[in-house]
Formats: sequence, structure tokens, C-alpha cells
Amino acid sequence: MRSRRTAFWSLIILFIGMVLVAGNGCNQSSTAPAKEVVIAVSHQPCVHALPTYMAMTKGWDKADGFKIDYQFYASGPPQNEALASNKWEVGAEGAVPGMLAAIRYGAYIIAISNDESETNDLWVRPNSPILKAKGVNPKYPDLYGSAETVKGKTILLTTASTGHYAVIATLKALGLSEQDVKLVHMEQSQAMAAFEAGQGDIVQLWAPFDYIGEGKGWKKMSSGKRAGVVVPGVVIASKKAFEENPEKVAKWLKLYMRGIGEMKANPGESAKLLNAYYKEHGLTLDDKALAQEFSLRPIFDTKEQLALFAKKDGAPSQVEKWMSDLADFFVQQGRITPAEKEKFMKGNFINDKILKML
Amino acid sequence: MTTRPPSSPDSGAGERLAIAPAPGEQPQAATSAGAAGKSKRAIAGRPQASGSLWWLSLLSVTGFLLFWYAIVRFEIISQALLASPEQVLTTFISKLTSRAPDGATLGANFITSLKLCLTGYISAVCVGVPLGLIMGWFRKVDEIVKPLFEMIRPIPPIAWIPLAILWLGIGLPAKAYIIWLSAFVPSVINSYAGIKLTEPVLISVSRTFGATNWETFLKVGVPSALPMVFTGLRLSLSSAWMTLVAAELLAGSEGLGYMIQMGRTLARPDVIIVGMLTIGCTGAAMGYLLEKLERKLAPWRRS
Repeated sequence: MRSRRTAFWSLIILFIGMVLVAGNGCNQSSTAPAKEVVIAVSHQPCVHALPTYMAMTKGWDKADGFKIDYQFYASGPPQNEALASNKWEVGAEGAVPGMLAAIRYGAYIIAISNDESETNDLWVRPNSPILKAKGVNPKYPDLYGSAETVKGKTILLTTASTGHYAVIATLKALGLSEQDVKLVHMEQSQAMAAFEAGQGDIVQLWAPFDYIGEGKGWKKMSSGKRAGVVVPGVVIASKKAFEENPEKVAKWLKLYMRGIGEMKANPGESAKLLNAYYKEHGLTLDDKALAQEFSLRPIFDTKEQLALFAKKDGAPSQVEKWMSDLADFFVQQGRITPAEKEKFMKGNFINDKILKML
Repeated sequence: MTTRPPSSPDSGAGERLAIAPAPGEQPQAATSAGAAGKSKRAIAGRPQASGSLWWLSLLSVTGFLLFWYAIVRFEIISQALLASPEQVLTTFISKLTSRAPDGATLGANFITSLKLCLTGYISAVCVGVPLGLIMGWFRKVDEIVKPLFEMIRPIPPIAWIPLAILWLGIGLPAKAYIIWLSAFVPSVINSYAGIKLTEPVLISVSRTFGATNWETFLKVGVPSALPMVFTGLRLSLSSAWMTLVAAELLAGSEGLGYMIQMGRTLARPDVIIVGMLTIGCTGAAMGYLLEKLERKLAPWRRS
């Protein structure tokens, strides 16, 4: 009896051992390939993650001997905290966290992910008196509202962000200042909930939240673009990756630019993939909103990017001008010091070295 | 009114709600000369810490500051992740007069947060303490309130934020409500446990001398519960300050929680630490004042 039990347990142990060995063998055979380069890439729930997602979904990364360690962050601040801890090497984020990543952690802006000037916008309810006036200032014909209808209003916004930049530009275009309205800081999802509950007169949103707002019947009164400012999304490389391993960064950027090329060439197909990406992260957009992600947010291929980064006769490049305007806004707000702006603009943090390597 | 004598076998202290009295907060210490005698004996066996061992506190604070300075100075932790003590001090001094980078001076942030915290805390205590005492003494009230309280108790205050916006908007009431929720629970639990720890002998004596149930509640139960009530007040105060940052996430343009949030957005650990230390010091100062009040109102309690 005892020997039978021993034999039974021996067989069980042998079986488990074989499963483990076989499993390990399978793993080795499936992941063993030669010298795969791993790169840590960070993104947010935003269209500028699509090129990386596309590369992973279509297997471009593996075909290039790459393995993308994909990291997802809800917004810029936690993304930058992870950057400070060397958790990622490249990624895309908004212009504000991009600028702060350069100032605080020495990161480099190596490309432009998209122009999000039209999707950093201000919304009102359909019955808002603000909608009664349009183009009061002839320099900004697409802007709704007037000094009289906007003065004293409560604006729900995410402060110290590109959205805040669009709000201040709008107020300026209407001949108002921050002191003429009541600004209430809220995160985007909470601002939406509060606005829906009847709080505030104007809400500042950015994509993809603004599409959800539009779906609720809210009306766009202004945007960065309509108020005359440019809000770029930026592609970032960490100081370490940029300075110690530019070839690796260039290899990834090549994949990213391939994705941008695909988005330009096949927006319909790309929209389906974007839909899948958003769904994976709990966001559902309708077809119209998905199409707007491509129609409202210009993207730039490598040639266009090089032109945007090019300095003509020693003058600042287009990207430097955009970022300088943004940095000026932050200095006026007291969020960064003039010395920090100086460091940002003169520290070569806006850099086309990697783009030139493609 | 049907009452449940706290001394009855089915009403052991703390058994109906989860939090039992902390070690060292024995019911015997709560009331009576006998209890006071025990307290004195207990104190007699303990070194007089406040008079002779203050340097230990000084040593621990100095040691902590030196450790903090060293790990930043020798770059064991990068300055991008942790500001040095002198950087924090510089930011603290500049924030006394400067509105940068969050848009309000430290004083304005402090006043906003203090107002918010006290509104939530005082209203929570005003409701929570009487409710806990009544629940602990009157069985019918306990049976009515307890199921609801037990359901609400485990819900984190920040989970209420979306509903708070819908019900109360984005101003002070909504934020105070979030703080109210966090401060309310410890007040109820400790008051409840405190009154349940009333000495059965005292209740019997009171009744023998002809006191009504209400009189026994007021003159024996409530004083007996005071030490635990004060423990609840202190725990509530801590909870209120701990929830402040979450409450100020709801909406705002100034306040210590908002300042900490802006410090995070702008990647300024020095601003974050100044906000944290201000909250910590204010909480500690208010805790100290509560302790003083407790010594005055419940002198029999061992300090």
C-alpha cells in the first residue's frame, strides 16, 4: 500500500516537472530570438499613442528586432514622475509636461506628435448667452462671446495646462484678463461631471473629452487655434536615452514616424485601430469623434518635422517659437521662473538630432 | 424608552462596532476615584518623560533632518525626486509672500484649508459624537442606525466626490462634505465604544439612588465615555487633514491640497513638501490643543 502511494506521488512530481520543463522550453523557443532591443515607451489615452500602438499591433517592432515595453499613464504629471525615476526612455505627452520634463529632468523634445490647438477648447451649454455674439474681435472671427457676456463667468479648467493656455488666449482675444472671470481648477473628468451637473458657465476640455462634451450637445465657443495660439503635442526622449543611446531612440522614432505616415495615408483604417486602443483603456468614442481625431489634429511626417525644427539664418525654429510662447505664458502665470524659461530655450532641449538620424 | 444597559452580557464594549479601545485606554481609567487611583499607580511606575527626556524628541527631529540632508546632499536620492531641507526652507520663506507657482501665498492657502477642514471636522463631530453616545446607550437607536452606518463606514470618502459634485456643487459645501465623511466615522465609533465601557457598578449605584435612565446616561455614561470620545476627536482630526488633499482635488484655486497638486503638476517636490509640512504641523498643533482640552475636561485620564 505504502509503495503504491509512493509511486503515485512520484508520478505526480514527475508530471509537474515535465510540465515545467516543457513550459520553460516553449518560453525559450518563443522569446529567445537573438538580441532583441527593449525600449520603454510611455503614452497617455490620446491619439499621440497611436503610432506606437500601431507598431505593436502590426508587429513592426518585432520585425525590426525591437521589443516595446509599453507604459500607460493617465496624464502628464505621473508620466513625468516616472521619467524622473528612469522608468521610460521615450514617449509622447502634452507641451506643458514636455516643457517641464526638459526643465526639471533634462529630457529632450525630439519631434512633434500632433498640433492639438483645435482640441484644447472651451465649451458652453447650448442656451448660453455667450453664443449670441461671434467674431466680436475681427482678428478672431471663429470665437464666440464678448467681453460683456464672458465677464464674471465661472470657468472650470485644468490649471497649469495647455487648456489653461487656451483659456487665457481666449480671454485676451475678448479683451479680458484672468481677474475678470472666476477660474476653478478641476481635473478633466471631474470638470465634465460638474459642468453636466450645472456647475460653471464655461468648461475647458481637451481631446478626447471634448468629443464627449460635443456628444452631450455642448457648443464650442473657442479653442487655442481660434484664439490664435498653437498647442503642439511633443515626443520626448529622456536625457539618458538621448545622450547615451541616440541610435536606439532613432530606431524607435523611425517606427513612430512610420505610424504617423500610416495615419496620414489611411485615416479610416487608423481610426479603427485608435478605437481599439481607446476601448482597451476604457474610452468609447463614436465614429464622428474618431474621424475628428484625424481631421482636427494635424500630424507631420519626417520631412515636415524637419522643416518645423529648422532654424533659418540663426532665427528660432517654428517649434522653438511655439514652445517659447508657451513658456512665456508660464512665466507670466508665475508657474516657472524667467531663468527656467531661459534654461529651456537655450539648453538645446528642442532638438532635431534624432530626426536627422532617420 | 427601552434601554440596553451597557453592562449586559450581549453588549461588550466594542463588540458591535469594529474598533475596540486602544491599549492603555482601559475602561477603568475612565471614571471614579478608584480609576483615578489606578491611573496614579500606573503613572508612578513610569519615568517622568516630559521633564527629563525632551532631548530625545530633539534628537529624533535633528537626526531626521540630518538624514534627509545627507541623502539629498550625497545624491542617494536625486534632487529631482526629493528637495533638500534648505530648499524646502527657502520655498517656505518665499511662499509667505509669493503667489508663485500655484497662484496663492502660503497664508492664503492655509486659511482656505483651515476653514475647509474646520467646517468639515466640527460638523462631523457635532453629529458623530452624540450619535455614537446615543447608539451605545439606547438599543433601539443602535438597531436603527447601525446597519446604515456599517454600510457607509467602509466607503472611502473620495468615492463620494462625483455624488458630492452633483448634490452640493463645487464650492465649500461639497469639499466640507468629503471631510465630514472622513471625520464622522471615528467620532461615532469611539463615542460608541466609550459609552459601552461604562463601569456596570457605577450604573447600578446611579440606579440604586433613583436616577432615571436619561440621568444615568448624562451623569454617568457620558463622563465615563469622555476619554474615548477624545480619542475619537483626535482620530477624526487626523482623518480630516488626511482627506484635505482629496477634497481640494474636487475643485479649487487655492488651499494646501491644491498647492500640493500644483507642486505635482509642475514637478516641484519642494512645494509639495512645504504643503505637507504645513498640514502636518497644523494637525499636530490642533491635536495638542485637543489634548489640553481633554486634560481639562477628563482629568482622570492618564496622559
